[in-house]
Amino acid sequence: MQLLKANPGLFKSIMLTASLAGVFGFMLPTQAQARLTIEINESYENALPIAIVPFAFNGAAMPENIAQIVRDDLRRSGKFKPLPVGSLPAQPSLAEEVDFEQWRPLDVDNMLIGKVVDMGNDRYQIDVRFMDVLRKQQVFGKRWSNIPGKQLRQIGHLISDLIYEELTGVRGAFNTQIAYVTLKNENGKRRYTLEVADADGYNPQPILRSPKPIMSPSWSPDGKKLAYVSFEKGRSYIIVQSLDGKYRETLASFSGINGAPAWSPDGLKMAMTLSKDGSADIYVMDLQTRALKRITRDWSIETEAAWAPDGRSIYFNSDRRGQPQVFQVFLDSGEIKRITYEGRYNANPEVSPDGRYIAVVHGQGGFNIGLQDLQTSQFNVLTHTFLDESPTFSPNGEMILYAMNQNDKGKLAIVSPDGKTSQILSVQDGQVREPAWGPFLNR
Amino acid sequence: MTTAWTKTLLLAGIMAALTALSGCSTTGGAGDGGTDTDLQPLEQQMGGQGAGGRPAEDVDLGVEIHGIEIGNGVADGSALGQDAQGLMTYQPIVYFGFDQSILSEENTALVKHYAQVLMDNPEKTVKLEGHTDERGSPEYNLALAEKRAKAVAQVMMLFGVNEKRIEVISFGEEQPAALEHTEEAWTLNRRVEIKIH
Repeated sequence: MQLLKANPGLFKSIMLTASLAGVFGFMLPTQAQARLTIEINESYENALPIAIVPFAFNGAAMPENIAQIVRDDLRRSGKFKPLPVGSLPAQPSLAEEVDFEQWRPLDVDNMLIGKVVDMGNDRYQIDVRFMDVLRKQQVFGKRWSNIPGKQLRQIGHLISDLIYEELTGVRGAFNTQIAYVTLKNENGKRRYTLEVADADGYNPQPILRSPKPIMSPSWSPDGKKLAYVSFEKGRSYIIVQSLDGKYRETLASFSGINGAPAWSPDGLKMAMTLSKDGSADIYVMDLQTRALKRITRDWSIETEAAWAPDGRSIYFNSDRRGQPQVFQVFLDSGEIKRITYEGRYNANPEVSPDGRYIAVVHGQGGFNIGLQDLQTSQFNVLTHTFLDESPTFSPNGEMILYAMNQNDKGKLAIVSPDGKTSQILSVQDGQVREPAWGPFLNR
Repeated sequence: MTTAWTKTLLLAGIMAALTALSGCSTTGGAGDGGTDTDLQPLEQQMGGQGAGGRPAEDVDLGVEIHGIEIGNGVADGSALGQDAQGLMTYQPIVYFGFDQSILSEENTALVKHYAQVLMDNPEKTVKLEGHTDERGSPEYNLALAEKRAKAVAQVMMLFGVNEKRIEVISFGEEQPAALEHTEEAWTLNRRVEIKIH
């Protein structure tokens, strides 16, 4: 087994909001919710140097520093090392202003230039050009027009996605969202909030606040709804809610537990754990007809369904052999196959978007995130933090978000499947847990 | 709930087990147990600070987001004490090993005692609330906590209590009795609370 260790000593807190406001002297729009703060592991092994030139702006104050957003995105990926702004030989914003000879000594292959035009009424036009320094030519150019100020961050993430895909061949997942549950102590009472935020922790939106526990958010494949478990009625029920709050329905309120909702890849069915017929078993509900199909029948615990990307099989956790291990059930034949063998505790399977890997909560002494490679049958322990749980893949499979505990505080962390890069996301005045990375948003 | 308070309960539970055949024990006291409070109606949250509408062209940047707020209910539970008949009410606790749902001999004696209390008081019902410690997967823990509560229910039924008088609720790892992240706290959190009403 290969152990890949992230060194917590290398983490350096980066207060993005504070530094932006300090350097550029403007206030970001006020947010009712406390934003997730990101700490990034500052190791750049094999990271590719890249130049992200500050964008030109024709107005007084740019609502968002788009170039900085792109810089932060690329740096967080661990695959790129954006050059410090101070080390740039020039700050061109138009193609004709670029003197490629100036950039050659910096040993960067690519640079991004751009400009933002204030169109009035809080609308902006953004032009970007991604340049190949060695070939002295444009790789791509793109214009967005009539964009409201509050959506400029998302434009930044879209630019990051384009660069990431251009240079790695993998679609970027910067313009995605994450769901998670915060737990705060307000006047001695526990207060749970299901929130959705951008993948970089910005723009947190409350979806549900409750004095009772909220668990297990699961995104609909179109990214417009969340299924989750809520104890608001005193016991665990499965709820489906649209992000806009206009649709909310109890999907499962059977006797016993109603848990672990998992949307099928086609969005038409929901796998879930029910114990209405005895012990916890996996069921699949047709979301149109509400018809239930029982998938597992065993006296032991069967829970935590995770769909294979083709929708034809479901991975799940069962303690039928005494301790939790991951199994796979094929929906047409009912055939069941054991997947994990490494160690005594492998729970909460999550399938990578390409179907090759299963991330699990791996217990052997401590609890960490493990990764089972279905092709090679190799098993690696990816994380070495404390009380690690709830792994969830980014939609491009390049990162795994999970929950852990550091200094008595529940936090989220992100690790790459090779265990090399990592980040920590936390809220200042509470715990954060139960993360779920949302799907790609439509291009 | 404080650890110290829970320790008192732990001691009380053991004493109850030791005196299982000799009648009532007295483990009343304030706690977070007891009845669940009704929820206030759902309220549409005012003025969500959503990501705004769609951009005018080129890209679909996502949905306008609003949340829903559930009214702030009263904190969990109410105090237990003597009822009108002067009968003691109980909040004993059955503890388990890590990833275990089998009752020890001592715990079986404890559960047998409360089964007898239920047999002697046919108007009463019992809630069995299952819990785990925080380690491992939350959804597995939800199922494991139910398995523990059902193990206690089985023993009660074995000693004559009608299934209809038993309500099993699982809280998984969501309602720890002790909030620390230590072996001691985990020991106190792996439990089934027996609540006779």
